[in-house]
Formats: sequence, structure tokens, C-alpha cells
Amino acid sequence: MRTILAFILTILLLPTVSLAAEEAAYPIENPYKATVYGTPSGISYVFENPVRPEVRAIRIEDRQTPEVFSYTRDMFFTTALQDTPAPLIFVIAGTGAEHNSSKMAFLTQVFFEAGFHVVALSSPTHMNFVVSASEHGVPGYVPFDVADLNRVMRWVKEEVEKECTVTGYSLTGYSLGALHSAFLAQMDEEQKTFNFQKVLMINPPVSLYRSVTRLDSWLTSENLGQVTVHQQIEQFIDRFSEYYLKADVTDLDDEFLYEMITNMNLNERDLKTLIGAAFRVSSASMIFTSDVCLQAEYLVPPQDYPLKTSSPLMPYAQQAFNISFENYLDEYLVPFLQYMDPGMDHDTVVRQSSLEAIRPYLEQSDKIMVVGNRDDVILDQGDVRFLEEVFGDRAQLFPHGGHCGNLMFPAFVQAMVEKIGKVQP
Amino acid sequence: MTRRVLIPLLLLAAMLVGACGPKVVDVTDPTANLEPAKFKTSVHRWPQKNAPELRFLEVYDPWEPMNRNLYEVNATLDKYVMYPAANVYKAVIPAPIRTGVDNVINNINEVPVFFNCLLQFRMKKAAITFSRFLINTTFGLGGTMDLASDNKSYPRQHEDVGQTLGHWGVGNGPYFVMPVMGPSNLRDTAGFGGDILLLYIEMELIYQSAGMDDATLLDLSSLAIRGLNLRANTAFSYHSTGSPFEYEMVRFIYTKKRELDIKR
Repeated sequence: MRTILAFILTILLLPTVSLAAEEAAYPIENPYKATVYGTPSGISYVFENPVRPEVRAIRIEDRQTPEVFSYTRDMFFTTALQDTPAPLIFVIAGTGAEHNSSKMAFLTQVFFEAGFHVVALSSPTHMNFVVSASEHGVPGYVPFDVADLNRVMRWVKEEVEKECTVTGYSLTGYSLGALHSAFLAQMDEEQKTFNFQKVLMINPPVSLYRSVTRLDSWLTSENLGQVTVHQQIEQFIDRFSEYYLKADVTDLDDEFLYEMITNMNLNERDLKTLIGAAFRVSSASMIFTSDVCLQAEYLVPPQDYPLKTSSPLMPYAQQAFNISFENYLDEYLVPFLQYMDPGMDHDTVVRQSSLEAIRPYLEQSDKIMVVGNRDDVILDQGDVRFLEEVFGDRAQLFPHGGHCGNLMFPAFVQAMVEKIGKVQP
Repeated sequence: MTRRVLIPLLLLAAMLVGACGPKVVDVTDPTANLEPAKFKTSVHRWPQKNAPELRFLEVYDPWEPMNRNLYEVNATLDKYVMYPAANVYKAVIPAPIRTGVDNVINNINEVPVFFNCLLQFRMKKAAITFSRFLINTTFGLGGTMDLASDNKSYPRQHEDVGQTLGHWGVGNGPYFVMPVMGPSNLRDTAGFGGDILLLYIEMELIYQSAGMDDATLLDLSSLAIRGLNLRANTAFSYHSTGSPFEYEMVRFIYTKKRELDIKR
């Protein structure tokens, strides 16, 4: 009797099983691999009619820009506008990323295809934003960064509304940009400038501090053992070189790089080091940029000012690469915030840069959605639990994909569009 | 004759139309003028003499201040002239024609590559390049189609006079940012001159065999087309890395890549 029952059950269950199997899952199960490799071009989402986005700029009059950064004096952003009236969505980049980086260019297409006017903004941690638009020039403190974004978005709003009919506003961002989105949404509840209809967080960290200290930990002896990070990177370059010498290559394009990195048999330690180093490269840029703008004498001694277009910068790069986020926080960011407000301390800064600070708002605000991955390398188990508890069924977490690894995978794209709501023509 | 005049004129028009950067909106906000605060850090991380970190990124660059200025000049030229012109070229000329143009140029370039392979006694590479040239010139209709690349055993070779000099032991010399063309070094700049000369001789022979006496206009328009084609097919754009240390990165990658290309 039991066997018959089991047999019938199996038959009944079969269609669902095979259906699930048909809807192919993102193939890279190791989260570190997923984060480094991303979505292979063969299986990534394809746009039927890709739009040609326009790069634009905002220039703040009378803003003081150091000569060495004169090339990045204007704040650049991307627009992709519909011909017909439509809602507008702002897309905010992740740590150190620009408005038209590959992930941002992809997201611009996703939301344009879903029917939105799209405005893509660089992260406030990107050097162009720091130089051209930030009020204080000291990035990494979420309340300041969010205030900067909000101001820039108001300028953009005014400009875009002259050109097309905007029927409402929505907001999204990936990684750190996702965290910014949540804070922007909360800020707008009082200001009522945008009255965001939907806010979509893509692969958000829960606490900026916890996430970046995780990334930083992969460049310490805890992960690397006896080898220093510089030696490790030198070894990578030797391995890349070795591969390039033997490869049959005509162009050094993305496809080649992808093939190279997948053929190099990187182990988990290597992958962690690469992710950590990529983060360190962008934080080093951010810290140096801030120091030059403020003349805070952190990296550049007073006798070296002002830096010119012709000034060699390698000595500062060498120093900046050694600075962990923890160092930056203790030696630069917190002292700066204390200089502004003597009552400020380390713990407050950390707390105010975490979703935990606005938990009640996130719990009750139905318009805020999350799409992410359960194995995101910038989250720990507590963070995943936080997302599940706070957002409930407003969060869709895929089992695999690492940090933004499956961003371009069709199922992930579909989830993003479903959560934000396709615009009905 | 009309066509000879027309093409350079069209290209000039394309460049003029393209000669504008992104649209800029001016805003005023006195709180946003970024006046340096008086804030100074108490911890300093000032440069150390002979710091061991990232030393592998260092490149012999005694002309660095001049090079950095040239890098900026090139970036500005690219932003306002070359990049917009290449965009207009991509918008005006249909993709199949652009591919054809790219193929023809690459096919003409096989000849200097062939000579460089010979000069390095790399006979296999020379044979591949020669076969590619033959296949594409004949069956590929004068080089408009790159049929040779369909066969995996005939991949395009990259050899130039700079690599040939390197092959015979000539060192890099100082790093040098060439006006317009960008990253180079003393050896490769000399090599670039050699490649231009080889190409010039090749083109003159082609014109002569076609019975043309004065090919100045043709030379100019082919130069313009080569420029547009090169820019349209180059993914790199200045200041797109978002790093204040872009000059250092480009310098390292260029130098490393040339070192490897010479070994290959």
C-alpha cells in the first residue's frame, strides 16, 4: 500500500519537479566564484531593443576643484528617456562604481525595457562624485552620502522634467547603492520631493561596516597566511602573464579575460583575495581623492600641495593601498565627523550606516523590495536573517549568486522587474 | 575626382558635428563649493622613500611630468574630437560597411606584420600572416571579408617594428606618452615610425600599380578613416577607470603587455 502511495505521489510530483528543472538555475554555486565570474555572456539576459543612453553632466558653479582632478570637475550621469510619458527610476551604483560601469549600463537597459525613464548615478564613493558633487568631500558616512545623492537627484529632476513627462518616481541601487536607496526613501518621506512609488534594493549590505570589514579581512594574514597582499597580487600578475603568453589570443576583450580567469583554477583563497583587492583599489582611490580635496594631510604632506596635473602619484598609491576601511574610519572619517560635531563617535557612525538604524521604517514601508542572494559574500547569517525578517515576502533571495554574480542572469532580471513593477504602456 | 574630395569633406563634417562633449547643466549652490575645511588628520600616511609596496608597478619614467601633461592633452582631444567623431562614424556608417573597412585596413596591415615576422625569423608566424593576406585579398574580395579568421589555425598575428627591436634585445627606454596615440616608450615610438614608413611604402606601391600619380588626398582620407576606425574599435576611454591612479595603471599595463608580446 505504502509503495503504491509513494509511486502515485512521485507521479503527481514529477511534473513540478521537471518544471523546476527546466527553469535553469544560475550555474555557479560557489559564492566567491559567482562574485568574481559574474554571469557568463552565453547565459546572460539579452535585450531585444537596447537603447543608446546619453551621458550628461552637472556643473556646480564656483566649486573649488584641485588642479590634479580638473578632468573630473563635472558630475557625470547617464539618462535613457522614453518618448512617451513614463515614471522615472533613479539607479545608484555600488561602492566605487560609476554611472556607466558595466553593471550600471546593464541595469539602465533593464529598467528602460521595463518602461521607465532611467537616470543612472555614480556612487558617492566614486572619485568623480567626491570631486564634483559631494558637500563635505568625505565619503563613506551614509547620512552625508545620502544627503549628497538627494541634492543631486533634485537637480536632475528639475532638468529632466523640462524634457519629458514624468508620471512618478521610483528608486533602485545595487550593493552600497541599495543601502543608499533605503535611506533616500526614508528621507523623502519627510521632504516629499519624489514620493517614491517603489524602491528596489539589489544585493544590499545590511551594515556597511560589517560588510567592508569582511572584505578587508581577506587581505590580512587570516586569509593570506605568511604571504603579504602585495606578494599575492604580484603572483596573480605572474599567473596572468603566464596564461597570456600561452593563450591563442587576438583581442584582450572581456571574453578573453573571462576565459582566462575561469581557466586559472583559482582556489577560494585566491578568489577572496581578488574580491578584497578590487575593493581595496576602489577604497584607495576614494581616500586619496578625499584627502586631496580637503588638504587634510592624511596621505599628502603639506609641502606637496597643491598637486598638479604633472605630479607623480605613485608614492601616494603605494600608501593608500595599505589603508583598510577600519584604518580610514579611525584615522580619517570619525575624526572628521568629530571635527564637525564633537559629540560624534565610532559606534554612532557604524550604527548610522546600517539598515538597522531605520529598521522600523523598513518593516512598515510596503514599497521597499529586496532582490538578492542567500550566499552573498558581503552578508553573514545574521544579515540574511535580518533581510528575511524585516522584508518578509517583499524580499526574494536566490540560493546562489554571491555578490551580484547573477545580476545579469534572466531569472534575476525577471525578479527585479517583477518587484519594481513593469510599466504598462 | 569628386569622390576623392567628398570623402575627406564628409569626414571633416562628421568630426565637426561630433565635436562636443556631454551636455552640461550649471547649478548654483553656495553650500556645495567644497571649500577646504581646516580639518587635518593627526595620523599621517605620507609616502615613504623606497616603499616596497606595489614596487612591481613602477616603470622607468624620467619624463613623467611631461608625460602626464601629454596624457591630459590626449584625454581632452579624445573627449572633444576623436571619441565624438567615432560615435558619429558609428551612427552614420552601417555596421557591415564599418566591418568591411576594418577588414580592409587589417588586411593592408598584414604586410608590415609579415615583414616584422621575417625580421624576427619567425617563419611560422610569417607563413600564417602571408596565408591570411593571400586568402583575404583573393577570396575575401580585396580584404573586405576576413575569411582567414574563420579557420582557427590562421589567427591574426601582431608584430610591429617595436616588437622586432625588442626581440633583438633593444630595451624599452623611457616611458613616453605619444601625442594623440598615447602610451608608448622610446623604442616603441621609434618602431611606430618604422611601421608608418612600411605602410607608406606599401600604399605608394598600391597607388602606383593602380596607375595613380598624385595620391595626397587619398592618403589624407585613408589616414582619417584609419583614425576613425581605430577609435571606433578601441574600448578604452580616458578617465573611465574612476581611479586617480589611472596614469600609473595604464603605464604598467602597457609596459607589461609589450614585454609579454615581445616574448610571445
